[in-house]
Amino acid sequence: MMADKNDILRVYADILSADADDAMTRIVGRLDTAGSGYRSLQPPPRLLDARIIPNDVQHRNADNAPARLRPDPDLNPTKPVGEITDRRRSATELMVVPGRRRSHIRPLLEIAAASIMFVIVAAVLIAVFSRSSDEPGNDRSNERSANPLPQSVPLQPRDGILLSIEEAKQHVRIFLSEPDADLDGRLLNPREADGNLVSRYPDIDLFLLTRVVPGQNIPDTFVVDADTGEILQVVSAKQDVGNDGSIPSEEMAMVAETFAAAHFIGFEQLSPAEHWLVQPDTSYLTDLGDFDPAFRPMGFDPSGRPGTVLFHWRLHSDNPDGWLSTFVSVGINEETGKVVYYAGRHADDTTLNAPTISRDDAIEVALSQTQTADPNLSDVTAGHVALVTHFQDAWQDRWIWAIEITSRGSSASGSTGAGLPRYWGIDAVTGEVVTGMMVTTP
Amino acid sequence: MKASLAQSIVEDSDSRSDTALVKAAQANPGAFAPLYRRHLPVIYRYLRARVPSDDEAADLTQQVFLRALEALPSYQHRGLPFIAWLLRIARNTSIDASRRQRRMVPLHQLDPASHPADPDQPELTILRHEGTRHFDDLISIFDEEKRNLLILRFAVGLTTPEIAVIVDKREAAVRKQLSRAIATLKEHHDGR
Repeated sequence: MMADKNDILRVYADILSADADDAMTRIVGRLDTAGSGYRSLQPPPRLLDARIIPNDVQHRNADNAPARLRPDPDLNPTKPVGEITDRRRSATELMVVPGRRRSHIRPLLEIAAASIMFVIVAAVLIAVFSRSSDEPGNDRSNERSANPLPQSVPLQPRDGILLSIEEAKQHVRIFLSEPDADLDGRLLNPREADGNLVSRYPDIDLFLLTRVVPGQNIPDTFVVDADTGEILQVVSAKQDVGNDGSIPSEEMAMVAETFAAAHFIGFEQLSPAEHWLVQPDTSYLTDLGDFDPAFRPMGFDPSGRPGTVLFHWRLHSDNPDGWLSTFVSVGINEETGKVVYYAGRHADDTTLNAPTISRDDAIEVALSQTQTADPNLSDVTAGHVALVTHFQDAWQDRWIWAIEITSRGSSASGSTGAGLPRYWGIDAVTGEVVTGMMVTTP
Repeated sequence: MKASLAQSIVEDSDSRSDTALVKAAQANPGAFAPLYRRHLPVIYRYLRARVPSDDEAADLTQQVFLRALEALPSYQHRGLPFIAWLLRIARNTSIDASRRQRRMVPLHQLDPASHPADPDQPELTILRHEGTRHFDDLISIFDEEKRNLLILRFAVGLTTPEIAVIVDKREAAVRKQLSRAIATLKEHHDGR
């Protein structure tokens, strides 16, 4: 508690200028007095009495037990054990996973939420370039070189304060370099029955903006994070058809890279992602319709049209050797050579937990999961394996082992085809199965 | 408390001891306890100033240390004090929580029954809540970044150099932001 003006001036000299008037000093004094309520706080007994159970950490690989803080029975023997254990992984959430002694599988809703986050985070944007450049006969090389579009800016979240619809529109206009773009839109309420995009992602507020383009039945759509203003997704509905046949891959790659570099801050830090890693990612980038295009081979189109080739860059970590969640994807129409799809996301990787599950252990779990899911499969083996990040809750990521499974045979449901790969995500810290992505026939 | 906190953040001696404790904990997670006990009050106060209830602050505090414990093997000392790393985790944890809840209810708007008062010192608890309520009101006009600075300065009790280390900004920039925030408060109250 501080009442004396001189004390205030002395203690807060670093922020009060020498000529601070009485009013300024009074404000600081009020802040100091009010803040002292917090400064005098002591943590509650359940935190003060907690102790670390080291075996939970040291032997996680052996028994898969997560790290926990537990009351110290020596300090407070009457405190019920487990009161301050991590609620995210209570004992009741333990489930047996075939192939391992046990694995922590969270409640279905929590897993669903994690998958949802996985999906949403994808920031997609389309390049609906200037009308003039879309006219038939325009030189595509000119279109590539004329790419002054501003970058997608990863803004800081405003801690629960949502953007206004006008601010969201402005972000899209900046992204498009079209200050007069006529946009319509609304805040998507997670409880809304329509909009399968958002109804599945209850934790993030999004704006869905649309732009009606003359001659198009379907508007271009833009999804904007209502917290940060970052453009999360853009899908172009443009249906133009090129006259030149297929564009060479090298040219499409050049267009995609130029576009990504122009729109995604920090693009120079990203690396081309292994193509197989794109497929799990696109499951959340393109979850806009009834079908899941994630497992289409090269050439899938987010709007359901064939002929889009996806190029994907992602931030790579050297230690551990894995792929982080910051990424950008650009889809090019292979007939027109134009950008028809963009996604990008700047992820926060500062709180990732270090992996503790070995690659081999993760593969063992994935193989077991596959056999359990479809006993008719044979010759089940692991294909590509990589350490990647996966959305945990809200925008919090965690490391998972992404494992591609190849096999023969067919599933009981008949929905899978012989030889098609399956992907599993195994939490690299807890060993739990995060995602099981069974491939369906396109 | 203020002195030891300042030392732990900016002085080499305590910084080294934190480093030594971190190394010990990396080798043996059981040795995390001293770090936990040392930094628990600061993390709790910081989170308590950011969330509406003692219970939520305690839950988030627990999450912060769990995250820190699990991430400890990959922690590398690069000149950043350990408490700064913890406070960054705390800030992210708090933001994550607010994203999930979206609606932040000021403490004084909660039902009094939900205030976890200290049963041994009810008068002190009431007085403290009055004080914290006033603090919450004062900083409520600011965005998250400025609120964070004000919380670190007035609710946690850090100095400007300490805050600069934690938020990874130049000291002068932090000082300027705090000064502007106070000037804004002055104008806000002058206008009333």
